[in-house]
Amino acid sequence: MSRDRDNVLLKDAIKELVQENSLESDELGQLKELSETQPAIPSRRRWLAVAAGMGAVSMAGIFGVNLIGVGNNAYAMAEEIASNHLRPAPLDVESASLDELRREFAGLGFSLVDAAQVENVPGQLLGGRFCSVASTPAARLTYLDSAGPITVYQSRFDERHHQGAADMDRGEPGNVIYSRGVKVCLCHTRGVLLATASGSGIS
Amino acid sequence: MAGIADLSDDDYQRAFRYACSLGVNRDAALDLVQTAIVKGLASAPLNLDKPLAYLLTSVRNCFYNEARRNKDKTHVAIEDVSEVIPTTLKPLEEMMIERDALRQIWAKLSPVERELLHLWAVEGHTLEEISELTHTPKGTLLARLHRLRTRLKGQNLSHAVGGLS
Repeated sequence: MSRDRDNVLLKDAIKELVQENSLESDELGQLKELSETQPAIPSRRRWLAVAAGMGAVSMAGIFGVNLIGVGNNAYAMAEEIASNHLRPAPLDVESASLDELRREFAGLGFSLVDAAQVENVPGQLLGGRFCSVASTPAARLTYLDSAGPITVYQSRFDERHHQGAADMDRGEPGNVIYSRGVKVCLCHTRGVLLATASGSGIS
Repeated sequence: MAGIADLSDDDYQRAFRYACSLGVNRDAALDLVQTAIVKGLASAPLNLDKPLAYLLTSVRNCFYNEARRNKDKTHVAIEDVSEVIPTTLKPLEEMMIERDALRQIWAKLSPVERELLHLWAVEGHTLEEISELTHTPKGTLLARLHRLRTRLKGQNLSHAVGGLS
């Protein structure tokens, strides 16, 4: 009879089961490093203060109610994108041709935008990978520049999920947020969300 | 007074295991803890009485916020609380189960059910504390525990029968 067949107290069995999940030492180090990133506090607090101020002004009706709550989604998106940017992942389609990538990713329900043209994304296009941004299907395009890799996330723009992305068609500048040491620029144009992640350190 | 940066290795492991128990896979659990730390840094006072409790709450909030954003009904199921059955934790404390049977049913439990068992068994909280931590009425927790116990007993029995055949 195996050990697993023995009856044990439910409480002990749960403890054993849960303790099977453990952080590896590098993951632990990663979390500790993140916790010790003290400079994040003041800048984030400044940002929160600005966001709070903007919210108050919006409440007064000067900018309109649409701006209320914009920040939360933008931050969550930036965090998701920065996290993906930092995690290497293989390309589903290797190609430097945007046309070819457009065909490959057409199933996502939108046509890829030329980020080099719209956002001046530098470097050479390497290919794309299927992913999601704020729960909407997306393509992650990878560019390689002398400064390092740049990832551009594109998805069909969804007003509800992508609040906080700047409207380029109305002349708004990209909403730039630093998350996990990565610069993330959020915007949308022609019905497509563009999120560009670059750098591994705030400069 | 301590801060997020004063968390020990064990504290990080506890936060990670809590995230796993909420029902996300390993990678997502690590992301969840990272997000919780980043959000903690953004909004926590520099000095905290209980940095671990703060982190665990942050992990919980991040998880349920994401579930709500995704409108994932399997994550935040609406519960029928009309069958509140008065009971205590004693039957659960005395319950025996086969490890394999628990392993099989664990993945099938909802996040709120796993969270309840985790907070009780791993973190050692009382029903009152869990009620406070999860903002869930005690009656709802008792009903949930009653249903859980029934399911666990059923799983253990069917596993034992399966094991004999």
